[in-house]
Amino acid sequence: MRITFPHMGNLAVALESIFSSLGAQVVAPPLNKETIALGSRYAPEGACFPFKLVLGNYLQALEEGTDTLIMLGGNGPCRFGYFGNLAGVILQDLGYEFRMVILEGDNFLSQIASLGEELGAGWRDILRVVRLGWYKLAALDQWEALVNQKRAVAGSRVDALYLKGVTLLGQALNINDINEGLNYIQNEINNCLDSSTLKQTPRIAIVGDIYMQVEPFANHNLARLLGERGFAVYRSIYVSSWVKHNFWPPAKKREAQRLLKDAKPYLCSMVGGHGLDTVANTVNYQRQGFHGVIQILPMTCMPEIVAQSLLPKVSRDLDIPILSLVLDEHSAQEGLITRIEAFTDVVRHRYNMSRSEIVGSYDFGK
Amino acid sequence: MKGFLGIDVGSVSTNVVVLTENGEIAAHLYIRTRGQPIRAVQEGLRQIEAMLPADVEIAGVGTTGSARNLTAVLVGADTVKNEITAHAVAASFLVPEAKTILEIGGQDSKIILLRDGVVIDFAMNTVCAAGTGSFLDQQASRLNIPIEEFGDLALQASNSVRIAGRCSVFAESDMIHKQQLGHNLTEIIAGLCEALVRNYLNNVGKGKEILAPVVFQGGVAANVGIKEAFQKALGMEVIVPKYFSVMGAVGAALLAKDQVSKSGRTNFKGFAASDLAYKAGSFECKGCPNLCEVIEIYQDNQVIARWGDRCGKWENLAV
Repeated sequence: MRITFPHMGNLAVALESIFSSLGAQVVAPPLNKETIALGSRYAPEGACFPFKLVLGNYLQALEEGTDTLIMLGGNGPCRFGYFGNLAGVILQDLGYEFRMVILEGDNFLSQIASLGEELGAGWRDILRVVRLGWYKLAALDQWEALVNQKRAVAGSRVDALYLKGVTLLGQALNINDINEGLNYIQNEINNCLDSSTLKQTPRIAIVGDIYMQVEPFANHNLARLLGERGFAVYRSIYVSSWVKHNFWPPAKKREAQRLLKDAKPYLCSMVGGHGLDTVANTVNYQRQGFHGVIQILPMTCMPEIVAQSLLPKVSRDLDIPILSLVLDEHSAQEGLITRIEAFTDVVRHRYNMSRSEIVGSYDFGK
Repeated sequence: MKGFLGIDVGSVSTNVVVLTENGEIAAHLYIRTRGQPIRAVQEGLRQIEAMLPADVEIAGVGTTGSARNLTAVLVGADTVKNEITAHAVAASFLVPEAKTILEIGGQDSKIILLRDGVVIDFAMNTVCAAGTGSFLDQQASRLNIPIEEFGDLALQASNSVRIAGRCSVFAESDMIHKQQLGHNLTEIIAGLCEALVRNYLNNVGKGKEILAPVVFQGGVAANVGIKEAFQKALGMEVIVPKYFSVMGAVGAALLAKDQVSKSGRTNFKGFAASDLAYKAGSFECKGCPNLCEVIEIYQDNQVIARWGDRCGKWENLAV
């Protein structure tokens, strides 16, 4: 069995670990310009950027002889839930032969199990490798969150440590190894910090569409761009947090209630995708004293467009700068950087003013 | 006398300004970029040097606009700043009481909200350039009207026809259909101005609190038809400052002045930079699957800067 899955942040590491441990041959070509070119060529024009990346990634893998395609489901609260089905039809029309497996929260384990059986793995092995994959995903997400928060102070050293962590995870054979690696990397990251400067770092939160948030290739590594400009970065979603909130019904219900509560009075129902999350999390970050919020969305994303139209009001009412970034396949970073730079100028200036230091760089004529 | 040079290299125009120490504008220049930023910058330097009084010595340089990084390398800039901040700096300096800035340039349009001279919020078009200068340019040339007369024609109309403003393709086809039906040209142009203003306010200006005084700047502010349409739509007076077309460059000069007062020195290469042989090249880095397009800038056949890579391998390479 030659298996592939689209890249979506750290998810690829977990899936690679699971399927290669079960004995499948994993083919996971990285995202690059060719992915975009292929995806844009064969996807419906109006499809969102994440879909184009997913489709392009499949095409790259099929050219390398893949026979089994894995995709996450989501039961369709937004287009994401249909990515697997839509890509399947398009690829069939193009004449490829393959099997599409769309993993759904409710029967995820049995789906993995039936793939595992084909590969001759027993239930015990399957449970073990799934658990190992999950731990790897959770560890990577934890490091990424830590790196995003500390990069502003510790510089690129934390990126190097993150890469070291990825190597350690690659070699990890059991959960003990992962935990050891986790402790080691976390300590190292904390060691390169001076906690007093950390307190003086303004904080920016990233909210918006899940795919655009978790895949640095799609968002031009927004977290790093902000970190390099001296901001501690927090993200509203990681793949592991999404899994936690979606694979276990009581947790799903709790999270849905929290979102509805926080989004009041701006939005009082689900609008598909992560639209409600975006509004609720923005309000929540403001309450936590964040200095700015950036919403990222792919062009034509309906749920995020609903949220985008509400955010100016949230911004005015709660007095917090919010920037909405609509991204698509453009490859030149210049326009993105212009907007980020202008936004961070605003956030930095307000932050300095609130600390009654006069460091603003554009308060001329005063 | 000390002068501070501000250079704004945008998609359509390249603007150069020299600001004196007292904040007066000693010389300003607006030329077309014509898709060749290196040539435009060199031409700009040449022309501005000729315009300057002999006793002015450049004590600092700032660059802005979409070619700000490239320009910074060519001239040896002290500050490199995005055009949103640069425009805000200039407006709060030249029109200190401004609360709202409407800025429409060649490829982008922005709204900047200032309170007490400080930027509190801004928005910039992201996915669509409908209604920006290059579209107006294109329509003017299609209708065979000099762009300078476009706005005046709009003012001559006693009526305006409705044009779709949401997308430049829709707008153009509406214009053509109305023209084929026999509508008067001035009325079509007036309709276009209103459509573009409607689109701007509904897209870039969506949800923003537009308070007077409102300042309108950027190349498109030369168009009195658009200015009039803004006044009509907003129901308030719109101020077009004297140096509306070079505000980004004014902002860059102010930022350079500020920077040099801190650093005490300038990196300016001198006006001789206009005679150096600059050349740009690019290659695809095969170091990883990202396949980044790396740009190299040559000065007299020597690489002086590289950028475009995601990882910084080439950018940080000593050249």
